[in-house]
Amino acid sequence: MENAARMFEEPTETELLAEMRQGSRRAFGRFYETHQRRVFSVAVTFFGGNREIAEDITQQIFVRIFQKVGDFREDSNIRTWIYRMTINACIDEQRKRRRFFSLDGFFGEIRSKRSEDEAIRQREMSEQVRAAIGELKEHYRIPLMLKYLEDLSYEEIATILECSVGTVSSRLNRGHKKLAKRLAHLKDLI
Amino acid sequence: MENGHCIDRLSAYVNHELSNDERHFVAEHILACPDCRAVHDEIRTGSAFASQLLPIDAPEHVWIEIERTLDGRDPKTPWFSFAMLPRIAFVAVSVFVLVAGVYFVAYRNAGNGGDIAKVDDQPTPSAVDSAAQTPIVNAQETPGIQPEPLPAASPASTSPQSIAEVDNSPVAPSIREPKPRRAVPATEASGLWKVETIEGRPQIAESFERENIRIGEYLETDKNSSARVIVADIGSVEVAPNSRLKLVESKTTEHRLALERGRLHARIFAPPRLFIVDTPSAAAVDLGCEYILEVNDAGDSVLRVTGGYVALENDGVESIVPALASAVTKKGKGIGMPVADSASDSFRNAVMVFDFGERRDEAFAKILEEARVVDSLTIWHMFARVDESRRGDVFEALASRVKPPSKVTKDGIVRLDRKMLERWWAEVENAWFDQSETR
Repeated sequence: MENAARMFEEPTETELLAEMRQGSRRAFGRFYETHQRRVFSVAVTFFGGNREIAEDITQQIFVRIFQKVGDFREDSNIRTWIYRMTINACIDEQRKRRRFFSLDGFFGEIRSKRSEDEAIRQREMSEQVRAAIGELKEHYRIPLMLKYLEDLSYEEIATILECSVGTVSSRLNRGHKKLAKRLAHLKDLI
Repeated sequence: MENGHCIDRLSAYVNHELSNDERHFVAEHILACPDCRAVHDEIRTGSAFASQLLPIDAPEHVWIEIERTLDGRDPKTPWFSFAMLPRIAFVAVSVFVLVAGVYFVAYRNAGNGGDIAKVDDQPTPSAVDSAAQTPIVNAQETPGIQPEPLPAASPASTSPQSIAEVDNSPVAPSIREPKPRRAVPATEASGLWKVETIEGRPQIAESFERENIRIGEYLETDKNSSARVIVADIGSVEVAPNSRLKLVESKTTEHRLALERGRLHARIFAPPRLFIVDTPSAAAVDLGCEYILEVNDAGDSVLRVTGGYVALENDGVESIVPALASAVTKKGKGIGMPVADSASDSFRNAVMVFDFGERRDEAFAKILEEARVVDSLTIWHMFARVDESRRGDVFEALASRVKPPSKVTKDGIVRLDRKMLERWWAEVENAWFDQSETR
């Protein structure tokens, strides 16, 4: 009976990682299910709403996680590891694409959409915010994403970015102000 | 802190990252410092925008690509290869059989009924089923139309049984439901506030059974009942007997109630200007505080602040009411000046006459004559309420109780220079707290 009950219990993250080290694709599937939203949301926001690039990055990250899970230290925080990998992958990708990538068309297209429906309005607003955050410098963009997509504390953000809490605070100060300026025309809608 | 300002901490303040002591310090500084307040408002707007950001799930095909990569296959599969021929043949035969079946059923029905037009207008259930299925099969399984992997390779089409049987098979990501955001409390996101009964049977939207209130609904208490409203995640409001309260708005940048009659006791712990209570004669804007607000049947109100500050606003006129002071508003007549709780009856009556009565000249003189240092709070509010010709007298009266800071001139105050008024307000505020502590 006890064994039967255990079959339905969700495995812990440590158990999943242990199974993944043994090559279990089933465990990896569960791990993906838990973390895909995290990685994809950060990547899609980093690139101002460009899903195609975010899909490529999400794919890269999870393939790398499965291949490198043996290197992951038990005493580390898996989320910190994932965030760092995702952010580094985004920065690398941006460097590669810098000369070719423009958000202008995307932003204009989103801005022109309107709907009375509240759910659609929320999604549209979210996409406009995503586009505006995507236009900020990395220094401001990354803390904002980690704060508002993942609800991380300043201390957690500082750990991921390997900087001080004061630096996080100061970057968020400027990031908030820049975001408010960029979206000033939408102020009445929030 | 930079040069006595707190700009470097404002994001942390808005994001609730400061300790209670730091938080109170910043809240008080913002009230006194227009520069920091302007930056705070800008950061709060940026934060409100960023809070609109929704997380997004990766599309299903990302997982398929990951699996393919791990299997050593080229993730970008060409839409056609000779290896696909057997599958294509199978799909083509299936489609042929289905189309033939639909045609056969339609033909047979037409033959039986004898009227083809009628069959088209009112198809039989079997014809409906087949007609509905046919395009789906075509769209998903005809390789020429849809060059995506065949269903057998898709996690979405993997049966639960096959997952259970093969331990190392990949687990199909399920169709994901959007999850609630952690950053925004559910009550706030849905515009739904919890209401607790303190005593009796309060009514919500004319129901005795409800335990929450939505935007646009009323909470009413009779002479034997009272209730507590939980204001999103920022505090609570106790509603006294014989009150009628409406939930007007609940969003990340504003939580708004309207007290039509009765009394409420608000305890709010939030950035300034996030919580507002409308009355028929003014809006009480929370600046981080605790207060009691009462509205009578005529729509007049009395505000008494017990902690922090509240701003009363109406039609461009404002009164800032700190802890241990109160202010009156009258419907159609405006907002009264704040008066210290310790003020004499004589002084209080003079303020009432000045604000709402007919013998204002007499009251004006009496206020300036009787005011103590702590009543500088009231005198400062007179500048915006008297003619330019009288502002010089008010200047002298206030200057004799609280010295104007440097760069604050009589000329400037008489022409209502905003920066000078704010600088002097900071000194009046200091005097208020000094006097409050000794009272």
